Amino acid sequence: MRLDSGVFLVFFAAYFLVYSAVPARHKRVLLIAGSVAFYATLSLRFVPLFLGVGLFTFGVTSRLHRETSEARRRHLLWLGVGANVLTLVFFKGALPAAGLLSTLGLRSGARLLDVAIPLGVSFYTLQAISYVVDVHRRLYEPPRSLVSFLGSFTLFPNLLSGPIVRSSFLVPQIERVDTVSWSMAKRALVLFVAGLAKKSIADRLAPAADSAFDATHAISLLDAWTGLLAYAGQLYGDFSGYTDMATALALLLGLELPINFNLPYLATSPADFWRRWHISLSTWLRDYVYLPLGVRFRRRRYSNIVLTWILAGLWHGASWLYLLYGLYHGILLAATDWLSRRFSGDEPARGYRRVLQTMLTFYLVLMGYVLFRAHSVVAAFHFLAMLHSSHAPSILSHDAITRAAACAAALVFCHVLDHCVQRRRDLVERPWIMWPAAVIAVTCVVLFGATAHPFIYFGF
Amino acid sequence: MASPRVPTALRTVAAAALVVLTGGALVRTIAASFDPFQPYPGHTADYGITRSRAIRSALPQIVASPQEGVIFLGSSGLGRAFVPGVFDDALDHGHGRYASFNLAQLLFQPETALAMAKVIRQSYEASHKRIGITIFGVSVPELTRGAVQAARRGMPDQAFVFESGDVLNDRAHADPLGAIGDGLDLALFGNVRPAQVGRWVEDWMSAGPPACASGMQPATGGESAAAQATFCDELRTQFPRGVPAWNPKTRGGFDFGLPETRPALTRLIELQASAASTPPLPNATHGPALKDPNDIDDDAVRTMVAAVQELQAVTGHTFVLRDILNPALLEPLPAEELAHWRAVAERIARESDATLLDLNDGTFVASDFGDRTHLHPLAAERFSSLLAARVRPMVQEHRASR
Repeated sequence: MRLDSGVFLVFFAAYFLVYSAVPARHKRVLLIAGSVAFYATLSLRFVPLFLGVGLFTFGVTSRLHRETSEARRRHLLWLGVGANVLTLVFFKGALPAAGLLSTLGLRSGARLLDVAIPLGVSFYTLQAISYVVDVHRRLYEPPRSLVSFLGSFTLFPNLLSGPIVRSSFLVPQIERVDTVSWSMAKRALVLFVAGLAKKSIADRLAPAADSAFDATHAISLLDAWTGLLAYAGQLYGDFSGYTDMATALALLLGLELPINFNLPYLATSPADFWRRWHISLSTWLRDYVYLPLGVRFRRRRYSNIVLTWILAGLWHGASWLYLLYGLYHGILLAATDWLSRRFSGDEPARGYRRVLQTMLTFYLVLMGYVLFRAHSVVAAFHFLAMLHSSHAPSILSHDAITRAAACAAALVFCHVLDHCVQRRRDLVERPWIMWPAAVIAVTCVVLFGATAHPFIYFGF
Repeated sequence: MASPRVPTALRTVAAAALVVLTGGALVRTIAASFDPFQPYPGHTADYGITRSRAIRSALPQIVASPQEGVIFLGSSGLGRAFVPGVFDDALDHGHGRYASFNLAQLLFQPETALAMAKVIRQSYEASHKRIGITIFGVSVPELTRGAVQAARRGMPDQAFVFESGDVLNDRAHADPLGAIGDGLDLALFGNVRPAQVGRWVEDWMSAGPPACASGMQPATGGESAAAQATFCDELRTQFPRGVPAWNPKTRGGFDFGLPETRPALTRLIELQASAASTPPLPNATHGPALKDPNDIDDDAVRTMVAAVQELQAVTGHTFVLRDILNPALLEPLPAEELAHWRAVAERIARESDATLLDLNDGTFVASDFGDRTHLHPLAAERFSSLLAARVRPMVQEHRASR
């Protein structure tokens, strides 16, 4: 079931009413039951793996918390982290490895590794790792109740595409969870409709992006840029749309999820971009990869940054393109870090300089998307060449210009929507704005929503 | 202790439901403003679900027809071949006892056939009437797994136009979530998916000239191209908004051969026939020859059988008619594959206790086809007469025995 499907919403409405009616002490059990049922509708065969990872992590961490011997604590840390990393690496790497073995003629080995990637594995393993590490660092006292932990670990709204929520953030909320207030419910409705609208815009942009990236013939300069802009809008609308819907559903369950997007295309530097885009991943990488690397290899600041972002790239999947995507952002972050230390310090840019920096950052982010979206490394470099080539046939037809303008407008609209929902809640939640806008948005989404594409981050 | 905030939850669900219901009402209002009997800008008769929707809307008039009803179903191959007026005249020598209705649709999917059969049956049962003759067209090459999937992708909402509680109830056993989803759509938006209405709105806003989908193969050569352009001009003059999805005058027959267009059409066919005499070789990438004949989807066949059985429950004489196939496309196929196709059609007829009709006996040659898979309008008239001639003795025999 998709979060934006009518069937899901009907089931959720029924679930929400029951959830609101049961006493607070039973809500946690209902959360787990609802989450497992939701996961089962999508991927029944991986329910045992999903629950197994949760139970194993809870068991190891409870033992880790009680343990006083430092050596044993370290062993338990490696056991907890190692098992989760192995799960992630196995499922993300199995299919590419099967392809490689098949190419080498080892078909029996290839068949063994030919397994599907469990839905949400990239997200729930990171949550589990952060839980083990936080307990080991004594930053967080783990919950005594398995139900509280599983309630946070399995929480269905953010299970499949994030945000990556740490137990230290969620468990305290779950332990004192109560029903929703009307103001929270209104906020949730606004967020859900905004998410729905962004997802719908993303689906409308998908064909333009596909036609540019999947083109078998040379395309014009304008079409290449239109396709790239469309993809930037598609990725943002799809991912932040999902996050908004997930956050809204969690709000209705009385739980607040951390913010995951903050007007990312207005970033003034690559580092600023990652403070605004998929925030839960970049902060996770900072806390659990970059900082530990910094402690161990204090003098290798820039190689630590690059290594962290290579891992971030590979987290999306075991492919050369994702590796290059991570490497690209790693180098960008290292380079801008060096530049800002040397020249500008931490002063935020203002005026025309800010505009120029924003444009440059957006350009650099777009170049990264080519690696993220292309089918192969060769195709990516070919596309990059097309974006900068004046030799590509360019037909400035009315349609082509309209398409490009529509893609740019969609990007701007998504940001304006986010700005209003995040920062102008007082205005948006006024009844005479909120309800008509919700009706118009729902009508437009169902009328012009195009074919619903799967959420992009489900694939990770 | 029960939560004191249950009323808030109820209020939230009610508010969300109200938003959705208001949106649904708006969508329904917009959909209703597009008349099902008219083509929408840029659309032609068999585009999308326009024709399906018109057929559903025409059902009450079809049931109310004072003559003995003849219901003709099938995909576009037979749809283009069946001319109701010609068939009726040939069936009872112009006595006007029968009124046939061409309910064929492009890419006629098994699910559509079943949903449609249920709706037709309900309509006849509700008015305590029976269908005189049902002719159920079967295009076996369209029942391969690949073809069925392609049809579902191409026209995903065709069956939904005929969706009803009965159909959803049947589906609920195999696909409960899908059935609930469709049930919701049906309750909120009616029998047309809102995305389809959105496409109509977009087309209406762009208001381009109607396409000329004449059903004739693309013209080659200057003279032929000029003839096609003339024919298209005639079509546009007669149908300024595009060929209608359902023309009550022709009872659903495709209108390409109406009196006003006939001179231009005849000229075009003459030219294309001469082009066809230089062998109309099948293109290796299109047409029925492409589909693996042994890959027949058994579920699709069973669904077709169920559809025929539904219709048979309210019909006097039920026939299963094989699609008319272009001999030029069949020529390169092995005889056993053709035999297999025939066997599938025989199976559908046998299991549904209907009589099989097959006009693939060499009567129609490659030059009778306006394109790769459709007879041209003049050949279609001949087809309809021949079909009536085949049906007549069986119907008369039955009448005599009664």
